[in-house]
Amino acid sequence: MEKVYNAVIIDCKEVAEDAYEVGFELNCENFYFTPGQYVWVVLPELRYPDEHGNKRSFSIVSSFKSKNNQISCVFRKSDSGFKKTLISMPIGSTVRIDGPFGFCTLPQDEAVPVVFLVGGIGITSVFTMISHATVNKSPRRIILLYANKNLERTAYLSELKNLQQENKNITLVSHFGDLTSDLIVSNTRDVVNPTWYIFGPEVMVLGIGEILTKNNIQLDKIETEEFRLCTSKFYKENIEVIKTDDGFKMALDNAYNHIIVTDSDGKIVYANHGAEIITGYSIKEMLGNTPRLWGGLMAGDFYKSLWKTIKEDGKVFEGEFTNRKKSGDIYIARAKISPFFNPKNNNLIGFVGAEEEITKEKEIERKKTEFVSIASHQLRTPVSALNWLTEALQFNSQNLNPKQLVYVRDLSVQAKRLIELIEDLLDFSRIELKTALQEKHQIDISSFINKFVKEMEPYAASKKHTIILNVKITGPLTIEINEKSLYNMFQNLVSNAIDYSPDNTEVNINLEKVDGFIKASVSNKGPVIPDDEKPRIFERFYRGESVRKMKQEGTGLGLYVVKTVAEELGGKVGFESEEGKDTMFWFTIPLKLINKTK
Amino acid sequence: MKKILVAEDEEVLLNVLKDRFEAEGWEVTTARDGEEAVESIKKTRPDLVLLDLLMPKKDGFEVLKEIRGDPEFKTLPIIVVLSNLGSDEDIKKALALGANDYFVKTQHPMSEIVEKAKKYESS
Repeated sequence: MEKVYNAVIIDCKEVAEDAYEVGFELNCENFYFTPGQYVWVVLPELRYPDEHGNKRSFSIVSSFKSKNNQISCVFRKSDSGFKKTLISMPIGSTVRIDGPFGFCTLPQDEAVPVVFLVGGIGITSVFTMISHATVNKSPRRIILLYANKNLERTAYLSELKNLQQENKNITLVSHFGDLTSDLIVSNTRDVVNPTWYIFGPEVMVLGIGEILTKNNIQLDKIETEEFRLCTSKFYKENIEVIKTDDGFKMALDNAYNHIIVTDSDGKIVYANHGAEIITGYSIKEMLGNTPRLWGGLMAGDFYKSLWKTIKEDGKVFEGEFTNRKKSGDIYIARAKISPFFNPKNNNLIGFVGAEEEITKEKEIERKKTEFVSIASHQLRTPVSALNWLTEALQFNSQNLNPKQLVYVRDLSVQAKRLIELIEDLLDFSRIELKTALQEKHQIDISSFINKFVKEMEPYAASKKHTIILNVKITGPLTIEINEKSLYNMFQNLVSNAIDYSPDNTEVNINLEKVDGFIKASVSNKGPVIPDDEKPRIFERFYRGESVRKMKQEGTGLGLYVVKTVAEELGGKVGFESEEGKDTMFWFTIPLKLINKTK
Repeated sequence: MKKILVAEDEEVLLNVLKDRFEAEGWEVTTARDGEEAVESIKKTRPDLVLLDLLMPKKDGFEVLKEIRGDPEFKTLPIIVVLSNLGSDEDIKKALALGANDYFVKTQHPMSEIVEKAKKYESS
């Protein structure tokens, strides 16, 4: 919504001793605000100098009986150059009004009673709130204790009395002198659990704030205009509590994030309320146990790598966990587990684990992927039709003129491209939905790769590339893997290597055994990958500026698929790209040796 | 003239296949769902059937089962049509149910299907 308005001064009058009300008409049809909010009044120039400048905030005064674009502000005359300038400005002058702002408004629930404790000119926003409640026939119970030095300085008293006549829910107590504890208590006996509002000069707000807290009224039941309470004594006391160990622990205890601390063997020595909420186990049940209580569902390798990272390497482990709540419900959590050490001798003390449940986010992501899958499936029929219809045109091409023949040929190329894109999206969604890896095949890696290279050769030749295969694995070697997924991994790396390197160059495929893994690497003579693109290169749908320049089309899914499949199988991916060297992408997959004795 | 039944629920695909096969000199009958396909096979006794696996009323698998269950049609050549490239399972299932061959809509041009059909025509 627009927050900046031009406004014209339409009125300026004294509403009590030394209290001025200035009326504005804004250049809009309706000015929407909630009673209790304030605006900034910005003057075009200051006739009298003011060290605080030409902007000042004022509570919005509106009786809701004037036009919807008219508001006023009220202030006590003082030496402020701003106020003196404003009073001196002739009717019809233009100012700027920014707003509305502020949250010191009435509770939404009209059943909640309110008590206003007001000193002097602090009445302005209260007057607006009460007027509004009366015009709207609100059933809310309202008590107003209004303190002033004397009758002359009491602004809006007759208007407030009229409102009380009109709205029987209002109790108005006008008092000359300070508001005391007795006065407040005796006049608010009949309201149950009200919200308290304190409006007035700062000293008065802080004084009454203390009276209320001494009467056991909770801070969250007390409203004041913007951060008035921050400087008060009781606020400072609370801050001191937070700074102590007890206060710090209280904060941790009440955090809604799951936080646990374990000893160096993983035994839980601390768990907070957030951990109770997420796991469903009580703190008592968790203490002395290990996170296995809700975990242990992932593959063994996952936990091995976790322990290695935090215990042996002393580093932070970050990952997504599938866990089980006490209720038996499975949930997904993103967790960070960090070791912490004794500063005296650097010995490992234990671990801090913080996790956040992301089951819902995962579900949404899954639905998105499912949508991609369904959409791609649905696209197949029209795209097959497009393909065959184009073919039919080409089959009956004797009546087409040369230009039309070219169009039909282009149509056919585009339809085939569309099919490739759809197939890419489907491969991606099958991998995302983890349906791709379920079906496993026994694959002899050497014959697989030979067959693969044969199938890729025509494509390589079309770009004048040579594929050189270098298998450093002797003898038959069988791995258990989904054939199409393995094919996809090689296809993505090799077609990238071909697409993103100069014509007439070599693409090398290397296969070797490294520490219980098969390492496959594909290298080309392509340009170096820019440093700013390196960290994002395996991201889903990411295509760097540099590759887009070389090849326009592409989904940005190829490397993502390679990474996802490799990691799903317990392997890794990586790349090397340096000036003066071949660019090389690699992935590893764990060996599942079944030596064939033929 | 050799007779072919094209069973396909997508009107556009059905028409373009029909035109092509007619142009290649076949007598083409058509079916738009599985029930129609079974009826048509029994009535017109085609020399070859192109059978879409995904059809209303009866899918291609049911049609296969029913037709192969009839001793008269044990040797009738049936080529199944898939819209799914990734569905190895469907291919295996169809072949196990007695389909003679298959092709994938998004992957195969009609010319390849015609070539396949010719093989069965001459056999």
